[in-house]
Amino acid sequence: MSEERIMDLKRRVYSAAKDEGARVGMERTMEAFEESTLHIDEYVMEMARYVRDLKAELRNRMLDLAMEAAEAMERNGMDVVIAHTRKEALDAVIDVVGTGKVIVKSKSMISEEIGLREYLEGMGNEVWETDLGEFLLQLSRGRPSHFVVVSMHVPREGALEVLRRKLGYRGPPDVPRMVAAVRDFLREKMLSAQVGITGANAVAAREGALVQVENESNVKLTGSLPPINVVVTSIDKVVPTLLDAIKIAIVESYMLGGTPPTFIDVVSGPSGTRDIEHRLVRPAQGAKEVHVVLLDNGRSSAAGSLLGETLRCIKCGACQLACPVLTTVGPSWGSGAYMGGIGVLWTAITKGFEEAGPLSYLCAGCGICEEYCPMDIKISDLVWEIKRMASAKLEEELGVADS
Amino acid sequence: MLDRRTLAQFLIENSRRTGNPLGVPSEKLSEWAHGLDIDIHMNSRTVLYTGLLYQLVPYIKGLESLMSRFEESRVYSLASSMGSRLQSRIAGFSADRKLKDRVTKILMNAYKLLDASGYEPAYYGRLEPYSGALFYDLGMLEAFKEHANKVLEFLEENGVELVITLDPHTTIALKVLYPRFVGKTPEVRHLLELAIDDVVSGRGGRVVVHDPCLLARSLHLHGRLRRILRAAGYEILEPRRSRERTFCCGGPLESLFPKLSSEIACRRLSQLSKLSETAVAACPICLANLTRDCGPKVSVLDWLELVEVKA
Ligand code: SF4
Repeated sequence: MSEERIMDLKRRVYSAAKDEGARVGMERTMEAFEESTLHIDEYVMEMARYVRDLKAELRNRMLDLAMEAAEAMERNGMDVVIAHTRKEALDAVIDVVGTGKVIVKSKSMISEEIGLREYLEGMGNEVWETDLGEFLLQLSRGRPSHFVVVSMHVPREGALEVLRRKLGYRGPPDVPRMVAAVRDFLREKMLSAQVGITGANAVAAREGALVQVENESNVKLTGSLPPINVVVTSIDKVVPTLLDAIKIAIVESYMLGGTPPTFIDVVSGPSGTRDIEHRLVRPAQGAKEVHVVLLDNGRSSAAGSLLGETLRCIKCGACQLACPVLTTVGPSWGSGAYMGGIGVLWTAITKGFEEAGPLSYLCAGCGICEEYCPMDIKISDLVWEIKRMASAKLEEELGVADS
Repeated sequence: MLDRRTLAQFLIENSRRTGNPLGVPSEKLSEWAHGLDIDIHMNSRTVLYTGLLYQLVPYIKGLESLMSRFEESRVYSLASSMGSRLQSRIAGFSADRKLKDRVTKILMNAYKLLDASGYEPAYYGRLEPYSGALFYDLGMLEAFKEHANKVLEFLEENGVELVITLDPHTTIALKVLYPRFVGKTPEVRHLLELAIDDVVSGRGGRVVVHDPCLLARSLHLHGRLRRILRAAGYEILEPRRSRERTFCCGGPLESLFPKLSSEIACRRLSQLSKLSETAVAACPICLANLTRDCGPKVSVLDWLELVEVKA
């Protein structure tokens, strides 16, 4: 690993740490998070332990389970591709989407991982993010700083400025008015889009169903208003049953906000009706086609490795909001989709050690992430392992003997 | 800006030359014991092992101001040959005087507290090797193991049966990391586990606690810290993030990302300052990193500056 990469990172985080606005945004978000998660109900924690044990057990049959899920989803009338690499995933999406389309898209870290929006735009499509945070980032050309609260580094003042500059917003600087303006803008896009791209928080193998958890209702609309729905998700999210998948949705929501989800959406096929003479007609009110991409991209081969337990991660983002480093430097400590300590691990799995190595040095090893993680992932310890690998070569060069 | 390679080289060369990564002459690190008015029990099978960490704090601070100029400079990617130039340029860095006096008192106080609690530990002064903790934080496992081996040899040669440590980093190194990577250690106890509440006193007043990360999350000694502070007459205030959920001072990032470590320290200071003008920590790294002037009005003291042996 070249020293230059670490210096690059250093330059980026130093300049990020100077961004006062971002710091204010992150401090406010962190404080709200601390208050809302002080007491999490024992019944939720019990569910979390169940999910943790289940996912630990599934790790070694992830691909088999993904196949089972794919078959079930096909039976339900969805079109499924298991993509082994980033390129296969992008190809699968472009096969469906083509070019010259208006596309609306909800937030998904998997689509960040493969750079989906940029790719689709490059292929001549107009793409709009429908999650408010992602939308703000799209307008400001920013990167996410968190798995869920993607724009935690954009304070209300920053949001106002972006909306004024990019959307011609003329209203007052109050948050509800700003949100209403975005809603009007995006509603029009959703109604005119030919394709809606969504993600999934969990996938049920037996039922062939996708589970999505959200508060904004944009996922529902993005997935059902346009005639074609493409769902981009990954194989580590597949669990045996719909009940398991819903438990994940519930745990995720509580871990970050301390409250149950506003919406849990289950998608197990295209919209249809049998109301007239019991003959299936597609679509009814929703999408007529549902295409699913299940991405591997390093996950199945990581299962048996040192980083295997990372695959238990449900991407709730609790560890990230607790992290003093991430909430100081924001997206600069990341590889695009994956940020913070857990981001170092996901980066190693999906992009390799070369990419993850420099990032590992930003971890102070304080261990707060492990305190918050409902999946009991030894995040700090694993990041240290990556640091060790990154330092091993240097030590060799400096003549420190391997004893 | 300082690059990783130059930093690593600096630390390793110093370690080879002086035994500690900052290259401080070993006599300076054992000076504190000269002022002790009680005898050191050199035949004891119990040893006070400082791991040199508290003693290095004034030098870390001295180096910090020098390094911050490096961090500002546009020269980066210092070729490795410049490592030795860096070496000579910073060879003359001096200790922060005030902190040096404070650390001397902290360490003397620790020894007295052990004595008053019924322990008679040996202290080997200049012969005491460094624990390697800093190398562990940088992921430099081989350098860490070299140090660990020296410490284990030192303990064995002196027939040590009980090691008493003073700070969380050294404690974790000996208790958890040595057995994991190198070999078995004799029994290790942190001073907080051994000091007796009945023998302490203090000035009293309200103090906000800054739990050091490892002390709370790995050693679970945060309750013990509060009890002894209360026994010494202090009223404890809890900041927004405390106990196992404490907020890191940023100290471990000091070597590679000094500016970031100071940003994080200032965030923590601001959280602490909401409750009191006096905060208490129990870790030399916290002490080094939280001793800075960046706005919030709060001074951070070590618990060994607040808790004394009753007269
Ligand atoms: S590592 Fe744990 S806390 Fe962090 S996002 Fe994953 S499940 Fe949540």
